[in-house]
Order: sequence, then C-alpha cells, then structure tokens
Amino acid sequence: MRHAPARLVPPALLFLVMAVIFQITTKAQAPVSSPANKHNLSVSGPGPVRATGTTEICIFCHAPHNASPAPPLWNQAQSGVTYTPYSSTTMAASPGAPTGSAKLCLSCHDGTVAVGATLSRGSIAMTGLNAAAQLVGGTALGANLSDDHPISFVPVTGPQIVNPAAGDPVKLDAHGELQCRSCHDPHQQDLDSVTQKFLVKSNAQSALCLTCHQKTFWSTTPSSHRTSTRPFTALQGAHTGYTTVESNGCESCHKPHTAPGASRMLKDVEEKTCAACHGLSGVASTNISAEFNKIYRHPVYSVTPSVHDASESPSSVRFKLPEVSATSPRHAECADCHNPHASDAEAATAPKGSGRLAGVWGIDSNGLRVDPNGAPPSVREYEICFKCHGDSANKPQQAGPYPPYTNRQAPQFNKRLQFDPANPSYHPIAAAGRSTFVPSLIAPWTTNSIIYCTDCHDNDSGPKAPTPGSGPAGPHGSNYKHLLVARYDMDLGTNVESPAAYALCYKCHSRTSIISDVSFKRHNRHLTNAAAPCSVCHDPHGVSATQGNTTNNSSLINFDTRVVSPNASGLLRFEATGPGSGRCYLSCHGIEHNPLAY
Amino acid sequence: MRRALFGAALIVLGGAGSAAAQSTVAFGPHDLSAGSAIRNTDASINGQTCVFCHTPHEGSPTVPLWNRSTATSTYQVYASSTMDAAAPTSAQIQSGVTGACMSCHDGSIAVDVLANLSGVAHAASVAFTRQATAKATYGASGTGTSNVLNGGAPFLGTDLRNDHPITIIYETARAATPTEFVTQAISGTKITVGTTEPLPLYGASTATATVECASCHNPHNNARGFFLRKSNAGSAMCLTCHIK
Repeated sequence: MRHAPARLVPPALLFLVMAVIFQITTKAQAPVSSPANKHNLSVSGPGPVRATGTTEICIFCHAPHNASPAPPLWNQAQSGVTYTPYSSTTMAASPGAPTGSAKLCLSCHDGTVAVGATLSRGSIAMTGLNAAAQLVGGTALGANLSDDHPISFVPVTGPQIVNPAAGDPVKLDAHGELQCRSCHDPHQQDLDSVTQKFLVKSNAQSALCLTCHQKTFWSTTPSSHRTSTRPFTALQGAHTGYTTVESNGCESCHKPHTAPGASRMLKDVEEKTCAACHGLSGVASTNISAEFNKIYRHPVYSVTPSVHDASESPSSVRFKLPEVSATSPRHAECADCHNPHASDAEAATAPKGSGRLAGVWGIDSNGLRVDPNGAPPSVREYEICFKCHGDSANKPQQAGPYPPYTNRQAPQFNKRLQFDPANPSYHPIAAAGRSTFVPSLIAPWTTNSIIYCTDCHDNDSGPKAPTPGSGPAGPHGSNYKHLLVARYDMDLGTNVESPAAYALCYKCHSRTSIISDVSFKRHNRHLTNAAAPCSVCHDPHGVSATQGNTTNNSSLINFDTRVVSPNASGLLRFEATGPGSGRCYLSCHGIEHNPLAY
Repeated sequence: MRRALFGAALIVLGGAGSAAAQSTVAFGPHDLSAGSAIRNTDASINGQTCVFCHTPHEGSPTVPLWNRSTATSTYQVYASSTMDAAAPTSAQIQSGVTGACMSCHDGSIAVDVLANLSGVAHAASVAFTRQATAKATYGASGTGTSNVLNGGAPFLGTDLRNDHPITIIYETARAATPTEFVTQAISGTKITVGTTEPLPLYGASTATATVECASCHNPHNNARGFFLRKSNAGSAMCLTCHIK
C-alpha cells in the first residue's frame, strides 16, 4: 500500500513531467532580464556579482542619455589599461590593442575598473567584487590577453580559417574584425545551456569554434579526438560542462580564455595537455604518460617547456627542423609525432604510418619535407623519425645521454643516410632489402618485406614485443636501451648467447637458423664460442653508400672497432664472395683473420 | 464575482488617484512658473503653467498648440552597426514630437522665447529669475536669449550620439530582428508597444510609427522622476520594447 501512490501515476503523465523537467534544465533560455542571468547585475540578479540596491538591469551597461558616445549607449567607465595581445607563430593575423565592442566588455572583464562605475549614475553599490569593486576570478581576464583567444583583428582567411557564413550567429563586426561579441552574446546566457557562457550558439562538438576554424584533417578524417564518445567529465578535467571527448571537441585540449599554454590556447603546457587524458585519468584507453617513466624514453616529459614549436619545418626561419646548429637543444614532444586533429586508430601497412601518426609531416629519404596524404593521411613512419634522427646537426652521439655507443668502422648516426635504398645494405625500412639470401627470416617475413622503425624501437611491454604485452604501442618508452622493443645485448665484449640476449633479433630471425649456421657458416662459433654480440659485426641500421660498398658492407657488415681491430697486416675488412660465403681480414678476441674464409 | 470586480476597480481608481496627485505639470520641473529651478519672474505670465509650451491660439501647427518655435538645429544622431532603423535627418527630428522637446533641450532656443504670451505675440523675452543654483545647474539664466539650457542632465545639446535614438521607425528594427523587439499593438488610433503599461509610438500606422522622446517620457508627469512614463525598476521601461 505504501507504494500505491507511485503506481497511481500514469506512465504518460510521468513522461510529461520528465519532459517538462528536461526542458527546464536543458532548453530554458536566460535573457539578461532573467533572475538566472549572470549579467543581470541588478539586486534581483543571481550573483555573486550584483547591486545591493539598484533594480534596473540595463543601466550597468547602457543608459538612454549621457552615455559614452560609443555605441551601444555604453554606460560603464572604460579601462585605460595597455593590453598584451595574443600572439602565435602559426597565426597569420596580428592582433593589436582591443578595439570596438571588445573594449566595452573589457571595461568590466579586465578587472581594472570598478563594476557599477557608470557614466550616467556614478558608482552603483555592488557586492561580489574585490575591495575596489573590481571583477576577480575566472571572468577577470586581466591586461594579459596573450592567453585568451585573439580579438579585434580581421581574420586572414585561408585553408584553415573561413569567415562565418551569412546569417550565422557568429558574426564579425562592421569592420570585419572578430570581437568578444563574435562568440558571446552578453544578453543571452544559455544559447549554449551546457556551458552557460553567453555563447552565441551551442558549442557541442565545438560547432561554434568550427564556424571559423576549418582545421586540416579534423572534419575530413575519423579523428579520434573528434569522434570519441569516451567520458570526459569535470572530475577528469573538462572545463565546459560537456561530458565526452566528442562533445568537448576543441576544448578537450584548448581553452579559449586564460589558457596555461598561451599560444594556441592549450589547456596545459605541452605534453601535460595530452597527459590530462592519456595518463591516469582514464579518459583515453591507455596510459601513455606512464611509458615515459621507463628508463629509456623520448624526452617528452624530461624537458618542459621544450623548444618545440608548431611552426617548425625545414623552411622555417626561426624554428628549423631538422636542426641546423649543433648547439640547438634537442626536443621531442607528443606533437612532433602526433597530430591531435588527425590522429585515429586506422591501421596501415609498412612503410605507411598508421592513423596514430596521421596528419604529421616528415623528412623523406632525399632529405626533403613530405606532407601527409592518403588514408589514413600519413607520411611513411620512418619519415617522421627522420625529422630528428636524420640530418639534425645536434644529434648527441657519440656523447649521447646513454653511453656507451658502438664505434663503427664506418661511423654514421644519420639514420636517413643509413637507410638509403641506394646503400650496399640496410634494414628494409624505406625499401625491401638488398639481399635475397636471408634464410633465417621467420614467416611472414621475406626478403621482400618492409618493416617499421617501431618493429625494433617500441614499447617493451607493448604489442610489438616478442611476447606481446598489454601496454600501448609506440616508441614512447622502454626498459631496454635505445628504446628497443626487446633485449639486445651489445655493449659487452663477450656475451653469452641465449634466446633472451638477442630477443630483438630473434623476433624476425630464427635463432635455430642462425646458430645452426644456415646463412653465415660461422655464426654459432662467433655467437657461442667467442661470445660475440650480433652488433660486433652487424650495423643494424645500414651502411651509407658514401662510406661502404656491396663487397665490403653487404649483410649489414660494419665492424664495432671497440671489439674488432686490424690484423697484423693492418687490414680490417670483410669481403663478400657470394650468398653465404666470404672472407674476413681482421683481428678479434686474439684470433688473427688474414683472411679467414667460409 | 461582482464583489471581486468592484474591488479590482477600486484598486485601479485608487492607483489613478494617487498618481493624479503628482501627475500634473504644476510644481514639477516643467512648471516654469513656479516649481522649476529655472522659473520666470515676469509678472504678466507668472502663475501660468501651460504657457511655456502651449497656447490656445496662434501656436505651431506641427505639435498641438505649441507655443514655441521648433528647433532648427543640425543634430549628430546615434549610429550603430547593429541598428537596422534608418538614422533620422535633422529635419525629421525637427518636424516631429521630438522637435518640440528639443526646442528647449538642445539648448538652441532660450527657454523664455515663446510664440504667444497672454494672447499677444510676444516680441521680447521673458525675464527669468537669476537663481544661483539654477545657473550652476542648467546654465546661463540671464535675460533674453541667453536663457538657454546648457548644462546638467536635461541638457542634451545637438550631439545626440550618446542618447537613445529617436525619430526612428520602430517597425524597421522589429522586422529586421523580430526576436529582439516586442511587436506593436494598435489600440484605436494609437500604436503602442508592450502589454503592461504600453508605451506609445508616433505615426499613422505601424509601418511608419516612430520612437520619440515622448515614447518614454511624459512631460506632464514627473511622478517617477525623469518624467518616465513607467517605472524602470527591473529595467521594465527598456524591456517594454527590447527583448534581451
């Protein structure tokens, strides 16, 4: 009986009640005359900023007589502050001092003029302000507008910027300038009822931002940041009131006012912006941030802020990449390899970069900038690596951060040169390998295969590990030196061969085949008896055509002179004499090769 | 039911009665005979209240029985990139209701220059009292044509750029942005805006009716201050027309 009243309510009526409540909470508009509108500064307003006595609403901004000559009958005393405008290396326009209606908004919102300081009535007594009756808190933008969306400029239209269409609620002013008023309607608080930020229209999925911003790739690819419906709530750091990645849109990463990352208005500094979701918060499915706690990692978190700039390019005057000065600081940021406007989960076949690398430019085998294309819109994966590991003049080897390094007979740290398909030998990154005799290859690998840099350099607990792990893919961090996906002992002169010691090589090259001497007939003797690491004879990347030739440097032969030295005749060289045969002139482990043939 | 209606009528009458006590020009700022800070001392017209604006005979035909010349000033008018109504010309301002108000409030014609005084065309100006406070507040109050408004809140001058636009066709603005303006109502020959205490527009049809000073101000009733036609608590005056 106690539950009878609930049962007496007809379902249809319940639905009606729910519908009304829903409408009130989501559709109710709040014009400035509404007691719920925060710009209603009268005594009946919602506060916290409101008058202590005045019942008039319009008077705080407008007066019918004796107002400022500036339209629209402006009644609030204006600010005399000198503002610092927004600037960015990737912005074509150059905003200067605020103009037009922006100055009117700033007469309260820069926080330097007392709210209620009217021209027609003098000071109106207010509450909710500081001792000088000035605005404080998040709505006080201050004189530093460098961390706010630029205002008072004529947009320079182009592939990524368009003017709002005729009739759109987003409007430029009479001079064609974007103003506060372009995005905000100071009278209507709830046209976007979720943010309640006086937006001129709903900004769900960033519809407001996209009115002008035609971000390359964003709308033309299944960008994960555009389409993900994973929860992203206020508790997880969302600032809009929207609750998914998709509905937060641009503002998942950008914040149009008082942004910690001023240029480009990022929600935080560099990688910390990404970490908000790709860390512990659980917004993204994997914790990428944790990868950077591993011993060997790209220096993303190590240097903040870094010298990375979104405009960097071979043709940039200020931000050349690859770097041309040996003294330029090195850097690696998420945005060097990932384009958050394009990135998605699409797969690809080597050498093409996967969707995770979509939208990122690279350096091709010829050393020229190459821009992404195709589906997913990506460059070849290695071309992204070449941005920093090719021609950069500031590569650290051999005085790098993780010594020791090999000391090759033909030393070369320019990966672009090492992987050049014109070389006498190279791992098949940019093209299928030179040798047709590689009997150790484990299916599906063949001599026609092309592999990714990340087949060797990747997360040791990720899907590319010899025993695939559950960690995220990608060369973010690894517990193995050189950010290798598996163990690869190379710095000990003598090294006990085992499946584990060369797990990296054995991922593709059958250990059984190797130690049973199917290819090089002395493999087992060298690996087991002499305990020589693979790296003593083989240079895993390749031997540059300018430093080697097909006779002396086939099969990636480029001796590590920390171990191998010239023989008594002063000779140090390998000579190929056919598939699986050759001879060596050298001295190693006290054994004279002058030559030793096989 | 009958009792309730009677009660309601009483309340209305009571309201009208209490307003009536303050609703005359006499003793208000527009009573230039005695009640105003600027008031005349001419014995021949002292005690008259209406004469400073109206005359039963020989008045101006543009505004009913107007006892003054119409202003001939050139005005700078309010302009805004978001205003859809056409800005008025000075001639349009002069020829309408606003022109009558501006004959004093633009400061171009002395307050004491009247068309007709005591049935005789008045050639000379009426001398106003030289009150120190009036002089300080509203400007010169010497004899003759120097009795012009040139200071204080009532003085608007000819620069109307900082004043709400007048002599603008309401329908032009409403039709351009119907969500921003309340629709006019026609009551007999009157065109008004608003339901509670509607405000008047001036013109023969909704297509041509204009906003004038007298849309917001009633020069005969200062009960609410500023001669407002209705209370502006909660900006009710502004929101009569504007949907914000």
